[in-house]
Amino acid sequence: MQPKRPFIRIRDVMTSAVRTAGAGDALQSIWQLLVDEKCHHVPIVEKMRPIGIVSTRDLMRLSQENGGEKVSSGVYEDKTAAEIMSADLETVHVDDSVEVAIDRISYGDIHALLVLDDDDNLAGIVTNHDLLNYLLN
Amino acid sequence: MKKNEPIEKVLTRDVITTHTGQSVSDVRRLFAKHGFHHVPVVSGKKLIGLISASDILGISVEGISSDERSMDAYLDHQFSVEGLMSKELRTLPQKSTIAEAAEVLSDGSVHAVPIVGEDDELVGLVTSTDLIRFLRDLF
Repeated sequence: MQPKRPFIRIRDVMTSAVRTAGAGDALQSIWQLLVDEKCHHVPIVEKMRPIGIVSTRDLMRLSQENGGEKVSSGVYEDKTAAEIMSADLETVHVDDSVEVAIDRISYGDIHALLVLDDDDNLAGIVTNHDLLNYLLN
Repeated sequence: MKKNEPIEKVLTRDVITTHTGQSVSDVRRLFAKHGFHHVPVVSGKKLIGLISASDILGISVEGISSDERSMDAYLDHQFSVEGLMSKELRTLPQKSTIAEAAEVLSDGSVHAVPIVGEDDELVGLVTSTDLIRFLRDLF
């Protein structure tokens, strides 16, 4: 019988400093944020509450859907975060066990979970990298 | 210690690859369809590079402001798989251990490490998700 890991909360392993954007922000600024930060997800928030997420994959799909369009027609420039974000959020609570996050990421086709506090505000994000470091330590 | 078990226990085989004859827009479509973050570039079976989703995203953002071209035309006109791929790769030999893969992946700069055979042939990829699944089951 292997020893069981101690109870560790998600707040202890998550990344708190998360770059976010607003629903009305231009697609191009979010795209640039993903490129500059070398990250794969940007949570879209209203005040502090997450209402969506834009991932690298969303942008890849977007450029696929619009592959035949002339860029100068404004297909990209006029879009906002609200039009491209996914509103189907994968969330966990700051006080959930880290095991919850490990299970969700192990079984799902996802690489990041949004972490919410008691008021459903965004407290952080927990990624593959956070979980891998936790498991290795 | 299970972390000293062979890397072959966790690696993903049957990896989708690309080659230098393919267009950058084709590679972009691979990312869009499959949702992964890395595509190894091979010449025959030999690993010669790696393209990440961030590489494609970085050049696509420039394409937004280009005019009179579709995104795909822009990508294919300006870029090639060979020019875009990373050639300085952090790889691990097929005989390495899970602990060695963990060391490479834990610094956060890469999310997948290609595993190669004696002649640099691509054997598979180990991703951070592969390792999380393995480590999770140790307890």
